[in-house]
Amino acid sequence: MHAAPQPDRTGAEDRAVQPDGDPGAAWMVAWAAGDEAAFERLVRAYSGRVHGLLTRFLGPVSEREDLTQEVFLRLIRGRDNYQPTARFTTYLYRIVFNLAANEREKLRLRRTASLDGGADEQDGPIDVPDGSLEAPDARLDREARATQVRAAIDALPDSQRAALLLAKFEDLSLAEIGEVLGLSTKAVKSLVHRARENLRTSLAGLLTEEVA
Amino acid sequence: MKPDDDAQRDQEFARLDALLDELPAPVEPPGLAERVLAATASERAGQHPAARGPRAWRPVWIAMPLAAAAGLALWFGGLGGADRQALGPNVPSEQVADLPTDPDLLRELELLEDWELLVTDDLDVLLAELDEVDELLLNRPDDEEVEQG
Repeated sequence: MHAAPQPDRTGAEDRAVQPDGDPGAAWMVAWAAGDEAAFERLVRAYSGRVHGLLTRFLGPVSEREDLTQEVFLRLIRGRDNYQPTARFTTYLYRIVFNLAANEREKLRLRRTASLDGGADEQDGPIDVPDGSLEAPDARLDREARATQVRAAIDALPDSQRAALLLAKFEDLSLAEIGEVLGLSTKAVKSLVHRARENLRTSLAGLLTEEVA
Repeated sequence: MKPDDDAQRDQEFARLDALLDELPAPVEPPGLAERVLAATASERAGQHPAARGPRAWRPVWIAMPLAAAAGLALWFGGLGGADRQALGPNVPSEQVADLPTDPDLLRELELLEDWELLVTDDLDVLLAELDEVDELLLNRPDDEEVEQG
């Protein structure tokens, strides 16, 4: 599996001081020891990834930025209890998915209660046209496929969607995904497998027209 | 499964991976980091060592409320039945005495987490937690006939 390319969000000064290994863990430890600048480095390095993960999991809902802020607020509150026993992203994503799961449930209840089915939840398209030299027809086809694929992913059960997104787009190992979701490695493997089988079924029209 | 089916299945999964790779990455809103920093500033200020007081004093600030709580507990323990009634009908002495200590509370929390797993309605999670033997038994075809004597 290959992760989709992520734009580099860190500033030049952060790149210059970024240590090898797990920079997030190093910055958390430094911040817990009193280096306030380390928290700023954490936010600049990871806020985009948090926002992106929330977008992939929840869709383009209006609460994403509030939830991104809440993730870092929880990081602050857990500052003194942080132990660098795993990759920092594992710790961070655990916070993200706890929040996202709760939000997903709230959105589901709101859509059930809402007369217009939650259409007001959306901010609009996730993507901005990349301004490439792609032919308009090809671009429309690509966007139509992307819409269909996102809808299929959104229709997956939460646990399958979470496992698939982390495996495919965040390059986490099965063990790390298990730590994020509180599941065994075996369970994660099964969830990813089921997610892919379900997508193969729901996107059969797209897959077979290309394979044939 | 026939080899042709396998090959087609593999091709479809390869195509699925290509479609997933084609999905554009979510776009980060401009200025997101600055807004997160601004929104978390007051929380961080409250957590700042200077705001919390010198490290040497922290144990004192932690000990004071604990000491107050211990004092209250001793005071309640010394109360007679009539006095306890005066506090309210819902403070029986046996409950106060039986309040779980930290290890007990932790064990009960662990039980609660196991309970939540048991009552989860996420079938995928439950199925994924099956042992290999159980999974094989679950997938065993129900086509065995019992020989009639």
